[in-house]
Amino acid sequence: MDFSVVLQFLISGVNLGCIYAALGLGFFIVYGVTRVLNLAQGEFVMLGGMLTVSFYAMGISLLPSILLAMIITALAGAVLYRFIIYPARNSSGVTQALLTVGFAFAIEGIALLVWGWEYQSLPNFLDSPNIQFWGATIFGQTPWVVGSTFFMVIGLFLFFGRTIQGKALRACADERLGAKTVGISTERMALFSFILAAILGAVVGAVITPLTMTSYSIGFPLTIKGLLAAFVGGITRVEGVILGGIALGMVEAITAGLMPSGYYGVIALGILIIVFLCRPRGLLSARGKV
Amino acid sequence: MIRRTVILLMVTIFAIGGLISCAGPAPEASYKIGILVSQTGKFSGLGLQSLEGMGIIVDEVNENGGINGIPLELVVYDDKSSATEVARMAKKLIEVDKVHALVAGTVTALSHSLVSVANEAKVPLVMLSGTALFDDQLGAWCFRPMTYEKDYIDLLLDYLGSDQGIIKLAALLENSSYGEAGKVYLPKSVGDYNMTIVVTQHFDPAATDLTPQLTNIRKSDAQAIFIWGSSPAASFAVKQARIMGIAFPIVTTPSQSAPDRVKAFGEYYEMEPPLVSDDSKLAIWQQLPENDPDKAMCREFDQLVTKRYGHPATTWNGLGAQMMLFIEDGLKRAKVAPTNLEETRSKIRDAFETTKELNLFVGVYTMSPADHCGKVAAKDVLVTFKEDETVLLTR
Amino acid sequence: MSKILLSGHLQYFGVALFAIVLLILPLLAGPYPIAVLVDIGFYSIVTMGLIILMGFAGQISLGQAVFFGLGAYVSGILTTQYHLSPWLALVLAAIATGGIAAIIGRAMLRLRELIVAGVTLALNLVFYYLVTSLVDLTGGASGMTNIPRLSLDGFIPEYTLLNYYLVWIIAFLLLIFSLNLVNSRVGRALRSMNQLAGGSEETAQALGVNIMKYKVQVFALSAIYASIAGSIYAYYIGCIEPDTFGVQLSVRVVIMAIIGGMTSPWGAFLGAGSIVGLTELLREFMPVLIAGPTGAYELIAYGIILVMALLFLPQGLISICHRLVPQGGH
Repeated sequence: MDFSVVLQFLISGVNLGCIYAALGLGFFIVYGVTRVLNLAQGEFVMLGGMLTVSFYAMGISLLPSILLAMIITALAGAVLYRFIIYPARNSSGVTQALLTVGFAFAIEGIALLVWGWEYQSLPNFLDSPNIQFWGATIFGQTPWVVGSTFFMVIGLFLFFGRTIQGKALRACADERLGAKTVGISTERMALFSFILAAILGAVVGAVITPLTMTSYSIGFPLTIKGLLAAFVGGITRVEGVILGGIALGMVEAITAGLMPSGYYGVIALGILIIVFLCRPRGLLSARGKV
Repeated sequence: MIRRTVILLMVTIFAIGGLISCAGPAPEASYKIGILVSQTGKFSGLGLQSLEGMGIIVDEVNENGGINGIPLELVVYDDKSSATEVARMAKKLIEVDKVHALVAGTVTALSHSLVSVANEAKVPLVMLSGTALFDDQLGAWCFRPMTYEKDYIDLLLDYLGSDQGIIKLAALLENSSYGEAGKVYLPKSVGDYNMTIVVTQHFDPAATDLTPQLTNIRKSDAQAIFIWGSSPAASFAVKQARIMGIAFPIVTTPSQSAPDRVKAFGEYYEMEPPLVSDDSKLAIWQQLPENDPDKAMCREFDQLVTKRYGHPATTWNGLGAQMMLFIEDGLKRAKVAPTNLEETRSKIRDAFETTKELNLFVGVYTMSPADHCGKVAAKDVLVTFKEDETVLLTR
Repeated sequence: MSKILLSGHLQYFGVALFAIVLLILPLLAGPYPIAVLVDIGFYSIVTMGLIILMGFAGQISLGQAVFFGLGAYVSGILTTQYHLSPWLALVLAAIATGGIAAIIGRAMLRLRELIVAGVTLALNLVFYYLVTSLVDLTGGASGMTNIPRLSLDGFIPEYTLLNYYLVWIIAFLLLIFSLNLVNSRVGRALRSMNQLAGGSEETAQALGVNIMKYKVQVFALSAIYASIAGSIYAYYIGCIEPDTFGVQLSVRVVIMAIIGGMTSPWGAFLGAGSIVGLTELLREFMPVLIAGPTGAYELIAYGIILVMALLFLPQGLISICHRLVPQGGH
């Protein structure tokens, strides 16, 4: 097999993998702190992309557009927590997950009304050129995708490891009662986790739009993919989520290249399911409760 | 207290939910046409565009006094891109709203169940779906005055063969019901143009990175690519192929020349050699010579759409409109008063079946008992892309 | 402790009343409401299986659409390609689906709840890709057509009406079966494992319950419910396509189970009825409020109402019944 061919598959895998990993991070943050599976995470990504496109089209330059999109999406995340999840804090996990589904439906409908059905795009950030590399192609936006995922991860590591806020968040995740005992407001932390997940989602949305386009309906499929990535890796640890995302992306890219006809979807998922079954807590996951 | 009231309210709402649709509307003297297309879900783009086109025609007809003095009335439901909803909503339109004819089936996957429903309930159905995969099963009551794959495959293959001298083709097919048509029809036709398909790759409609498939195509000895799909992934394929440096001719199916795609991908469509696609005359009517018989019709429709919706008429606007034009023509000839439901439906069906040389946007149609698709002349044009615009291909 | 609706004498009365209503309804309602009720019937059967799985055995499944789809496709293949009788095909499909579910269940149910959710989610996608790949067998993405109809050498002429009776008789029988199941020794064993009902797996183990065996059996049972509904659906609509059996359907079934209430099999009817009823209601009333295409508005309203229902009725609609109907001794 040609080296450039393998390289192309790998690049494609890393690209996809970073997208899925970034999606998975959003799930990780919310689940980790609140034990809620936020099935509206994909909608945050959609909002990030669509809002950035709208602001950019108004003439606002790119970075402010993304920042504005992040703010509005953060607001949506806050609304989701404060008015929908918080009132149901004593309900079962399934109910809470379904609440996020209801929210996702409403957001999708509103997006359809506001923006219509058309797909929207953005130019590569800073008009990054496409790169030819040993016979393979790297799309101009790919470094941005990989880079932003990378910085998100570093940022989260630092945040959870070094700052008081971050440590408080981790405390809530690991030992809720204990956290409350030392005076950490679990409600504030929960709100914060939703806002953070929304902001991350929005950034992902903005960053992937030049590559994948965005439209009102991309939310749900992204949610599913992100969820799978998070589960494969183990939703309880950051490293797990990232590894899961990369793994999912790699499997998808490689099977698309190697498998005949449409079977590659089956193979890709079959591999994942085998992973699930062999490493039930995910490829890497925290010891103790899942 | 509030909680209990809310709960009681919601229970009441839920309880009366389904049965309330018992009450049908009061009968009026109008032709009722049921419209069942996708307003949400995967196919909402096509459905919403077709609705725009239909709205224009209906308003025109009613402004001019209706059909033989009788107004047209639309009853519109969303099929939510779901086959289950389609089946149920069709029944509602037929039984409760008592429509005289139905327009439905945004895509082929959604239309199957309708065929038996329409044939059993004896209601004329005009199908909006694009592939000919099930044309032999339409029965007495279903009609499909639409596009045919054969028309554009032949044009595109002829272009590749005669103009570009291609004999080895790569097929890049979408894993969808639309892509299925490609799987079936493309291999059938390549032989007619002295071509063979040397490599076939598939892609998921939701795919965003087609470099693996394109890499495989580049490795093979294909001289051109035929991209068969309707999702954005098909447009990504063009863009990514060009970025990867694949410089041989690419042709593709009509969806890729839609305005929103050209806006996003025009830059890549134009790269040498420019992408060639198939489209309706509506897309490029300004470039038609003045003596082109369809130019006036396109101009008029485009003006109406622009005035009302603020954007130029798209092909799917035109397809929706032509469903209504087909119905209008049939109703005019049926000359039946909408008093007796069964008789009205039956006469309308007969009128549809005797459609002769009806000049619509994508073709001229003559129906017959044996042929309920009836396209006797195709109006497809080959288009390519230059300076951010879709242009007529000159050969 | 989970409450069982209508235990004892009241239960027989409720069941009898239900049967009478089912029989009489077609005489009162027009052909369209009957079609709606057929759809509610399909959903009810699938939801009932899920309620037994989730509400009684405490296992989540996001993959019921897969078993529904297996029932539909296996029946479709057996009837169109092997020309078996639809009835036989239905039974065979149910057995096959149950078997597949048992195999999957054995492999996965020893894992934690969250992972089970993940695997069942992935199952949806695997099924979709499998169906679209095996084109010769399944018709691929454009679907399978010409699935024959069920026929009774009987006197009911209208196919929708026939399906109404068929679906609801089966739903009724499954209801009786389910009620017996949950009240039986097996049911008590299940409930002892169910964390949501106050039990736990440790408790169950201490009581000598063979957890794995019951989990797998219930999982397979819920799959069989879905498969039966799927087979009838295939014969009813006459053609099936893979998009119908995706994640959205699995999620919708979970929604119906939660909205209806997981504490009793009766919840299946409440859940299915209210979700379908809500969709109908929105479709009916939106055009009054909004001119033009109402699809987007219906979607928004659906989401909002779903949220409100989950917030105000966390135990599902059946909790209202609990309040209205006095409980017998338990």
